[in-house]
Amino acid sequence: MGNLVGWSSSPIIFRGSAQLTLVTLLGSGTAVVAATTAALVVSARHLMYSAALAPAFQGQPRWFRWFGPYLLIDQLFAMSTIRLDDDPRDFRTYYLVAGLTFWVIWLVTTALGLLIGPVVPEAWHLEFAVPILFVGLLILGIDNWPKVVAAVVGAGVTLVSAGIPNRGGLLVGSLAGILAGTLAARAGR
Amino acid sequence: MSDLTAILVVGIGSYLSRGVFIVSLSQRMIPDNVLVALQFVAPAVLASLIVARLVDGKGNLASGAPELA
Repeated sequence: MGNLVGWSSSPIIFRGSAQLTLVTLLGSGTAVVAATTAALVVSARHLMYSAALAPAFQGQPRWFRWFGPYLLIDQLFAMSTIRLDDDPRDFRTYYLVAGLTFWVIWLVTTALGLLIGPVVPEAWHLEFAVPILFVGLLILGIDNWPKVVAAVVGAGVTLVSAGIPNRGGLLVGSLAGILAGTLAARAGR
Repeated sequence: MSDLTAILVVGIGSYLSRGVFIVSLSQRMIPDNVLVALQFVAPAVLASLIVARLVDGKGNLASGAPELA
């Protein structure tokens, strides 16, 4: 795959894990249909993000309801979850500033990566930066004990289903956590 | 199907997966029991993402799987 075609996946798909799944599989000679299917399966968890953010998009202008989803990546979802109760205008500003910042950084860094190769030393262990961000946002977002149940069950089920291909364990674990949290909320009432 | 076509298909599919509920639910009443369940998406998914980023396919601690970037 040419550099330009590879990079075009950044603005067209704008989803790191879907892009990497697709580009890696195509590069290793996997059939195009199989690679496309795998990349789409990796996108399935975003259905949950779309549902979880839907209440915050009520009362938003039409252009934002259609454009917002394009920016929705894991990191933006995580950051949005602590601002769901903001008034619509504040939420929109927060979402757009964070989302467009990620967008610009992603387009520039994927271009640099293609042109000059890896620039961040492995010794910096930047791969831990995102999990640490998620830990912080997870803790900030927990304001009742059923959410603790949701997080613990989500983590536990993801761990035991780590072998499912295409990150299916993430999906199974998340759904188990949502179900457990919902049941806990019902039991606590 | 060319590489560029594959990128376009995944791009459209990925947009649809992110937009379907935001767009379709934004003009409707969301039932209360659904709203209750939706508040657990964030803690469940974040906890799952943390685990998924820290372990490899066999459940061992990984020092960072590049496909999760």
